[in-house]
Amino acid sequence: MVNELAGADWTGLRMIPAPPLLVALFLGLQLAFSRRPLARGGAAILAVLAMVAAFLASILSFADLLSNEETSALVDRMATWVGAGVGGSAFIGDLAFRFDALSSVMSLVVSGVGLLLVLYAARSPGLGDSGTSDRQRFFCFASFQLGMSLVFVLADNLFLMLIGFAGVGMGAYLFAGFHYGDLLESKAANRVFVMGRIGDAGLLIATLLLFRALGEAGTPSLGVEDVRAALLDLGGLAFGFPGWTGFGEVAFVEAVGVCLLLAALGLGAQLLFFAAPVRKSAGLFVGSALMQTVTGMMASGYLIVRFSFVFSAAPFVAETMAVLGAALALAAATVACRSHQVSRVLAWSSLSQLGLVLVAAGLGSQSTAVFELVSHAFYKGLLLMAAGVIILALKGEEDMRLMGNLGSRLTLTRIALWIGVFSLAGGLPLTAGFYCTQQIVVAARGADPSFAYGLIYPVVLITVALTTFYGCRLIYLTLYGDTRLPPHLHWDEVEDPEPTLLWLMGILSTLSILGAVIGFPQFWADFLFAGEIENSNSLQYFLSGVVSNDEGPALEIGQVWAAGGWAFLMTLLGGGAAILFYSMRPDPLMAFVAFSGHQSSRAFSWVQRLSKGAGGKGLSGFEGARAALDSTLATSPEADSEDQSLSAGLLHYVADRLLKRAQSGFVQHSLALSLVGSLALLVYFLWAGGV
Amino acid sequence: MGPYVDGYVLSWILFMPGVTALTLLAMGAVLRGLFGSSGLPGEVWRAMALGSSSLTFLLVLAGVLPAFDSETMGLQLVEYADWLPNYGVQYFVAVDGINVFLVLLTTLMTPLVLLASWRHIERSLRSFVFFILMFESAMLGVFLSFNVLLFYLFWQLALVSMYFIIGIWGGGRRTFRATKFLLHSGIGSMLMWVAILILFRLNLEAGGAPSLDLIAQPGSAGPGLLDLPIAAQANGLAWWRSQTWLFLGFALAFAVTLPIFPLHSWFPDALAEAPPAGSALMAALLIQMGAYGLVRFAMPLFPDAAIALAPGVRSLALVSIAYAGMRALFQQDLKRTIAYLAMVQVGFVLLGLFSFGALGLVGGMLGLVSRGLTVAALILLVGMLEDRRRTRQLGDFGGLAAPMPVFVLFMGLALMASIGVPGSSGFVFELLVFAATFEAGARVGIGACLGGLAMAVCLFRVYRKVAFGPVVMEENRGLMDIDWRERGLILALLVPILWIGLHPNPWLRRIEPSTLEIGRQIAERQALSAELGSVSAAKAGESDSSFAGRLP
Repeated sequence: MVNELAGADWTGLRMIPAPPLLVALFLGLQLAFSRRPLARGGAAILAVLAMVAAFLASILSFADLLSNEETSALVDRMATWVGAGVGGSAFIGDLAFRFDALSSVMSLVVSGVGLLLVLYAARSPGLGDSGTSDRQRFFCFASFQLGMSLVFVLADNLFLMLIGFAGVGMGAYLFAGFHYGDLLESKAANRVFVMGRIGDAGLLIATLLLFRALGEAGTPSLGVEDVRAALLDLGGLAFGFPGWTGFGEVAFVEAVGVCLLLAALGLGAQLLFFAAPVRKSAGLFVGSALMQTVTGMMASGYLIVRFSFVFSAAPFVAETMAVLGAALALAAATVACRSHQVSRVLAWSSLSQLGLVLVAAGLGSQSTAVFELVSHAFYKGLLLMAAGVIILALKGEEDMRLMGNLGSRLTLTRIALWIGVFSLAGGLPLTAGFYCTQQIVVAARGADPSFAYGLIYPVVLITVALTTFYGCRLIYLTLYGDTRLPPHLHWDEVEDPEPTLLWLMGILSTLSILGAVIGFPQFWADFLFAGEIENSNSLQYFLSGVVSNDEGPALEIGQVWAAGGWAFLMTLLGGGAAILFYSMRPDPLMAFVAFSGHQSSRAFSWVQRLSKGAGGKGLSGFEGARAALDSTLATSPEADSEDQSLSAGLLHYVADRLLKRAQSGFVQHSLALSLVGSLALLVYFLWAGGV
Repeated sequence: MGPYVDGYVLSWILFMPGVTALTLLAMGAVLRGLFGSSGLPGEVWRAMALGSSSLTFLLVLAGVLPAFDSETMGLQLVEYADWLPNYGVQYFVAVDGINVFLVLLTTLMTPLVLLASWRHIERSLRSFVFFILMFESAMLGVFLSFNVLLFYLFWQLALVSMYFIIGIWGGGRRTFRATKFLLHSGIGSMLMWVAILILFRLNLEAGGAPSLDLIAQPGSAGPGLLDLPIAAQANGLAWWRSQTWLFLGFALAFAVTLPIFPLHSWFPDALAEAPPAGSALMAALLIQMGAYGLVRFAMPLFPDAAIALAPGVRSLALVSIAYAGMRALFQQDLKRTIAYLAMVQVGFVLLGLFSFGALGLVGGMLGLVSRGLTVAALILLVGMLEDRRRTRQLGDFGGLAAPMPVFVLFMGLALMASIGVPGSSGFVFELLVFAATFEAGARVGIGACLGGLAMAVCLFRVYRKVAFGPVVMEENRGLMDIDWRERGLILALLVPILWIGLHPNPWLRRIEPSTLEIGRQIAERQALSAELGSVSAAKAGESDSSFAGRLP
């Protein structure tokens, strides 16, 4: 019998992150020193080959893991990376990878979707001609970030995790500042950098707290499994700070939890900025956005799920995480409903989904969080690719108010977009997103209804409605209605992309639907197959040895169905509202919208001007104020009636009234609040906790 | 403890640069006297200097590193000879894990700065080369000496050489700044001098024979200083006999050169005013002397005082980090920003050293090497910028990534290393130091982590302003990217930075045994002073803060 903790040796693991990292190194050095990029698309070919190698290595490792009955993990231990100290303070980190159930899922998805992404970038016309240095830089950065996120999900110990984590953040920095000559973009890049460093600091402090405590307990190790075993052995709560700190026992685990949450939020906050390059290059935006969806969001979620044992030992932090997640989901979805730019709708949507991941993980339903991450990678990848097709077809124009009726030209892209939105919204009982949404809502239903936790359930339901709403709004404004193209764009020239890209979207569409198989909820299986299938939620079953506290809430079957039904109802409501506002447009409703919009805009136009001017991304202060004014004044002749009617409408009112005051409608503000809040919590736990 | 090793390789290394300089001087004088010429031309000086300093570096690579045994805790390649035995002054040089990489760094830096200033010294090239070589020998002497007085002589030689380098080849206010530098470091050194005299007397009283060797050697007359019991507190004795005062005497001299708040004010001035070669040497080598002296002399000689004062030093280090970080935010001069960055890093090093754990010592010593490499790289880069634009002001740049991509890439890498981005040497050292600080107390550790975070944010703001955004100034549009000579210089520093960052274990393995030895010395001497019967020393031995309690 192989030792469970040690795992079985499998030297193939290093072949997963190594190819993309080596390719990134080569491309970067080649470009830096020769100043001439590789000819004939060599960069793209190399990057694709590296991802093929990584994906194949992941599949082989996965097969090996499944066929190996004796162990739950494969381990590839290469060398001692850093070793210092002795006895209780031995500080030893191996250069070692570990491939267990959770890592395997993550590495398969990251390398698989990463491969699709690199293929898309290689074939998409948006990145410019092959053989330009921008193109080579893109593939260099992409390989680097993908390689680093593979290091992160495969890391055996916290040191290596730190490296991978910082690498993912650094990749986001590189992408956000891709056009370094642009002032706004370089500023956005710096914000990304700051967020990344905040995240790094969170993970670093958590690492060192754990190191200290494990050393005190006589088992100085920072292997993830060792930490987990120590935490479980010591019974979680009894694993407290020693006397020299003056902290209580509970405070320690909670401090670690808060640090981890801070790390995840820091990385998540970087998601916001993936729209930064869109002003300069539409093609790059799609690449960068896909990268952040595949790497940043996965890394952020992975961190939370990987350390679920910490959160299950610190229930207060877990519940705080769920509340924060719900707030984030709602705020981001609200803003997504109000954005005119395709890229921003999708960026905020990603953030909203990250909020849902936090809700699921915080409420102890880790496999649902993983399921959400995986299915999100599929359908958001699909949506971004489809959005990229639209933006490129319109030569970089991404204002939805200037689109309309593109569906009759982009027939195949339209299908992809529909599938993506259905999966995102959780509308059809066929898509992965549907079952995922159902599980999240069920998890939220099971939240302890005391204090703020009781709010999670309704907030998640509202988020579901809003998600459907902005998804359908995206589709209606771009694909249906009247054409509103600006004069320099010709409707006849808008065409579906070349077959390769369609194939890629086809693959992701299929995955968005078939992905349902891996996380099929038990209650649906019981219903459909009369209880004949055990463990229908194969993801949950598969991950059960790795994540802690994954039973989910103890609900009666009636409550489960009621929650699922509510989710479905909210989806219908959101979709219906979108149809009402954008397709049917009955006169009385429009009149009411115009009236209330006029009232609210008079009351809040200065708030908007202020907030947009100060925080508006992509617009200078003056332009921002102008744009805010234009979109707010219902009487303004230039303002587009389509979005205007809505943005001045009820939602606008709610967003302004309830949310804008606190967070000015910009998610970076709400995220900043979350970060500040987490920091404050951290300070509280360390200085005041338990004393 | 090894006996004599054939070949006297350390002496060769130690004296080669200085002897080269003196030989050139003598040859020049001879030529002048015989032929009435103006002596050797500056170009010959420069070439000879580059040759001898490169040879020194090769000697370290070929003679010291292969012979260095990473398992040995004590001294290696010891060379010991009588010099002034009546006054306890012996020629006593050796390497161990603490100084071996500092020696490597010194011998690496000197040829680099000679190459970096290849074209830019217009005035008195010969004297410039002379002082650079003297400085190298002096620094090597500081790092290699195990006799306190020998150490002190080399220490003074280093300060004086640097004084001339700043004062002759510096910028506009060089005389004032050089004097300020010498005054600060000179006053500190004087206190150390007094402390050394007291040590001499104490050792004479105790052992009956004069000796200022740190460790007794087979041929030495008296016991080593590390065998000398010194009371933790002067109970009934003269106050200057106690560890506290002696420690303060040493520590103040070291603190000035560290530099640490509030004794730092000479440092940004001197660094900004010095010529690029001088500031690179100062930032990479000169300011390592203080931390090195603390580890080598002050902490093992006066452990009770060091441990008693440790909380104060840690607080001071945190204040220093916060203060320097804040000052860095508001600097317009790029070199001054780098000066404050160096101060932040020394704060981290101090936090590591004064946690008194093996981790902290290893991290701190690695931190010295890492700081030397990264700060030197940054200063050389700024020097290259100054060559092209004759200015270092932040506002004069912006958007350099377009005309100078390789420069910007290198600057980014050096910055990432200096703020401890994983994969660079800075990360390894900060990780170790933070871990050690967490052992001493989580609050200090978290404070240090947040200080590092603030520094990172500040530096990347500077980086963005220099490198990114649109090119605003017309002069910057046509700037030449750094050429192969300059790339080579920076790469010579970046390669070890990345090497330490990506594969730190070989380096740590060589440093660690000697830090354990330092720990053993500290524990032994604590026991010694406890034997002296001092109540407070005995108490310190039992309490949590003692080092002995932390040994494995």
